[in-house]
Amino acid sequence: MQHPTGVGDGMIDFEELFEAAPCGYVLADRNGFLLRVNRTFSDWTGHSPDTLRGSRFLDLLSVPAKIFYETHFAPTLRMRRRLNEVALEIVSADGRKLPVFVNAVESGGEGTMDHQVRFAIFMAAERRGYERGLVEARERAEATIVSERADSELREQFIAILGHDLRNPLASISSGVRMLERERLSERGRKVTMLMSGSVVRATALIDNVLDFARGRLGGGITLCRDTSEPLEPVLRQVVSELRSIAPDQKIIARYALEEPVFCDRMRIGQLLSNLLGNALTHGAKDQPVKIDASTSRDELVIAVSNGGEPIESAALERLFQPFFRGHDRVRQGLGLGLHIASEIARAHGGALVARSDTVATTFVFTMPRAREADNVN
Amino acid sequence: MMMFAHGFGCDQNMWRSVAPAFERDFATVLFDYIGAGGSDMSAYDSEKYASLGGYADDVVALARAVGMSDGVFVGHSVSAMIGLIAAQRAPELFSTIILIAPSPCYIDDGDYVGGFTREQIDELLDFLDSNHMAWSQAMAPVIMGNPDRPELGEELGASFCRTDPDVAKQFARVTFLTDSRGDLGPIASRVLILQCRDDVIAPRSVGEYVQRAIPGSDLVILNATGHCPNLSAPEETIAAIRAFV
Amino acid sequence: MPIHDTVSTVLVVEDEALVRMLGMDILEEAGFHVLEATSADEALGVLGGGSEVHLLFSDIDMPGSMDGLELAAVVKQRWPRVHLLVTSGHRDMHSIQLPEAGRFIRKPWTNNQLINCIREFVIN
Repeated sequence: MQHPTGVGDGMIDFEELFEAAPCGYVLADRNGFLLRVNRTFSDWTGHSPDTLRGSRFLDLLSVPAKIFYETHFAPTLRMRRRLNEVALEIVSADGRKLPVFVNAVESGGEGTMDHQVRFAIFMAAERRGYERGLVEARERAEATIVSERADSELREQFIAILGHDLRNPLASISSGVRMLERERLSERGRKVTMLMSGSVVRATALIDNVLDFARGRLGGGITLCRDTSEPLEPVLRQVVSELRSIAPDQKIIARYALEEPVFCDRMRIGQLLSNLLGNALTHGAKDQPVKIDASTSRDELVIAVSNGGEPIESAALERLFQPFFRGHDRVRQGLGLGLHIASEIARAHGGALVARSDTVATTFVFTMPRAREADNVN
Repeated sequence: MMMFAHGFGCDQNMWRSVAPAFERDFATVLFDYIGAGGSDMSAYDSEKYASLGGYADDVVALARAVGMSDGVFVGHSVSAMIGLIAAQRAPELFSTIILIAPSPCYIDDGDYVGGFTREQIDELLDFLDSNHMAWSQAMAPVIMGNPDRPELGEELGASFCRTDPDVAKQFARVTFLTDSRGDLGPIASRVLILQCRDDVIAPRSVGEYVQRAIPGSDLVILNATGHCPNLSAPEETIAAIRAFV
Repeated sequence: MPIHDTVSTVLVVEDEALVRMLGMDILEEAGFHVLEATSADEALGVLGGGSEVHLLFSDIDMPGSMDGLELAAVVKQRWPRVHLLVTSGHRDMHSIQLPEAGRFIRKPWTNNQLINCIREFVIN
């Protein structure tokens, strides 16, 4: 049958339009019994109209699709009157399962002649294959996350145990050295115990830095426990006195002007100073003093450590705080973590660590806001 | 009081053509299980809802919260079994239980015909994976014209049969893999079973099995076809319920 | 029940020998009478054996059936008059549960820090 079109001049053969549509058309009555299917549908599924007489739409579906249809598709369609983009499976005449997308419309009034269900069927094999691939990729990603989380928990435990196991014998040696120092010793004996203390200090700092680094790499970052409950100065003084044992012959000049309380993790600030000072004692000129300056102002805490000796090249200055950076001088001891950890501690406190170097001195300056920010509670 | 419990794949809206008929004589209670309709998704607990007992506990809690006692419970599909379990845990709640298209076990087992093989149910669970869109699409609101109920006018359709896709998959597992035949047995409440004439999900033989397993229960075969007579043949459903309560 | 108002006898509980010896040395030099134990079980044996102990000074991480914190809890229950001081080298000690009036001192402590800490039990 031909009708005039709404747009343009041509006539449309609606019968042919229905039969040869780019999708399958299926019409069913309100109980799902098939009234008509178009040629496209028959071509795709192998079901000719004759073979479908007396069948319901339901009968065309695979078993899982049947269950889905009866429990969800049909009731929803009855209530919404329209349902789009639902994936179903149609069983072809030769028994293959065809993945399809279906749009459906329930038309007409209840009990009237034109109360029908109209289905548009689209082939979906490619699309469904693609979606399946996406779902599988997502599941693999989720599984990876779960296993990585488990791995990282294990590593975290390992680090905690390792740290503990490494520190124990060191603590033991340290105690032994302290007791020896109380004995009557010759001058040589005194020197030996002093150097042993220095080694213990270095080893402890190394363990601390390595474990912090390992933990940081796992996303733990530098954790802080900040308060103003006790003064910072004694902690800094203790660090300095411990590190004197690393280079007993080196002069260290320390100045403290910490009038106001500092909202910080004292242990961590101590570790920062220890790393800076250790660096200065190791790399600085032995015949020039190492200077430490720790002070508070109204807004900030500033700790500066400087040493004499060869200046650091500007190219190296930029990379100083990267992990494992050791500069050109491979002979010097150290993993190259101390400065990196120090800068991480600075960052965790909302502060900064900068370095400058010339022929006169190499200076590291740490600054951080002194007080807790009102809207930034740790 | 009359409580209506929806089944798998739907939400409380499936009672829209049936529940109003009873509002004059009963205080009707309708609800969505967690994960369906407008329920609070954050309350979904996959451990609790890994068994029908978890759902039954919710039914008991809800019934107690609304002060139900000696009331009527109407459960569709898997909610039929959920209701029976709830009644066993709290016998004082329901004096009358109406099971619409119930099935205690969907998988064939020896002489028992559940309607499906284990492989087919596994295929179903697999299939639901591919239909993420269909579940969530039902969550988009729609302007609904209702020519057969002109008095309702144009509704901004609260979306119907909304279900969270992940919850749907798990609810499907629980529904179709659970063998609840052991929960059938003598019960103090009066029980009516409404079975559709031609239901692929809950075939006639299953309805008869349930009737035999619950001594004193009544079985009525409806003319309606399909699995949801409350939607496809509401008048017949209403009449059958009314004749019993 | 009042806790001891003087501290003259300290029970040092620590599994690392040198660390324990140092602690004992420092305390003896400061005038305390010192008993020792290498584990929580041994410590309970000392206390149960009738020795009068005024202060328990224990490491937290020790091998055996319980750690220092659990030991402190048991001692608090069975010998409520004993002061409790625990120590550890671990970083994250803000969340430990000390029995009421128990204290914590972080390793490594200096001689003075340890003595002052113990003296504070008497003052308070």
